[in-house]
Amino acid sequence: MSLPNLFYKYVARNNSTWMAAVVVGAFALDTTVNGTVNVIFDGINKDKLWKTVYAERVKKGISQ
Amino acid sequence: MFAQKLIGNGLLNKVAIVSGIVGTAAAITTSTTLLSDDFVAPAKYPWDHRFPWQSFDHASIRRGHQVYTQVCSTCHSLNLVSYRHLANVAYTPEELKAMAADTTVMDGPDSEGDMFERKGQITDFHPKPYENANAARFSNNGALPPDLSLIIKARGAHEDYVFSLLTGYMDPPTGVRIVNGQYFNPYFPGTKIAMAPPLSDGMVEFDDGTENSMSQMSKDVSTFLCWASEPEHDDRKKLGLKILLGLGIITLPLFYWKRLKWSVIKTRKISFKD
Repeated sequence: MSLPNLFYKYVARNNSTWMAAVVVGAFALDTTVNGTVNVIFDGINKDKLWKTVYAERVKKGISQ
Repeated sequence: MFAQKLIGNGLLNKVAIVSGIVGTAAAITTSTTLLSDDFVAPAKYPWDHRFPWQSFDHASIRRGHQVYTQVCSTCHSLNLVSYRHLANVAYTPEELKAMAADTTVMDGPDSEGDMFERKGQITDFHPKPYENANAARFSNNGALPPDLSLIIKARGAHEDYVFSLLTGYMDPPTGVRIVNGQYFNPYFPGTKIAMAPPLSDGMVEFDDGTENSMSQMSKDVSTFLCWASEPEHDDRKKLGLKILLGLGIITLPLFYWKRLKWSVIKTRKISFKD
């Protein structure tokens, strides 16, 4: 059976499984999206964010 | 009838397209500099926090706060920024506690109705240089130094304006009369400003080894004021990316769901019998 058919049979056909999928999917999506964007944003702005700046300062010995 | 003829010929469409192109081109190529303005429009500087995916340079925010406290704060207040707002933005909480403890704050009234002085706390806001606006005017030749909390938002060219103003002091051109207590700055509306040139090379020592030239200090204090006027900046940009990515992903199941719900309607056939 193809993937959409399997999806229909086990997830979308019954309202109970569909609603469960919605709730589980919401949490999964939230975690994935937040994690991905945080990693990307921190990667792009690595040298400018406070955590990097602070680590640099500690390494130089000018911040505690 | 005439209108239908026009639409039929596609003339209206052509007019709409041409005017759209001209309008867009005009919007892109012209800025809002008015010929009646009596000041120079600041140049556009390449602040990289202007891009949708770029955060503030927090090392620059820290240096800018240093410039503010050592130079600007003698005349300008920063009413909306508290010490705690800078925690994990440009300072550690411990540094901020120590910084706030150096200040004295008027608090009260106590149980007997008297005001009293106490040591500053991290939750206190930046101390005001003057008690009120009248005191500020009296000490500054009648000119009121504006509060800097939202100054970047309050001026048309934003951080470009502040940077240009700080670096733009010059001798008045021939024919421009400057009275005592005024200075010539082409970026200030009216070009005659009551603020003396605030920064000069080597005025503030940066502990991270950054060169303390006047333009560097101006850039840093502009970045700091930019943060002060928009402290949610980094989180806001992150949230924007999250919404784009999240909606992008959610489109797929929504598309499937739409097809699923409509499949019954789309595939039904109606036949008529005698």
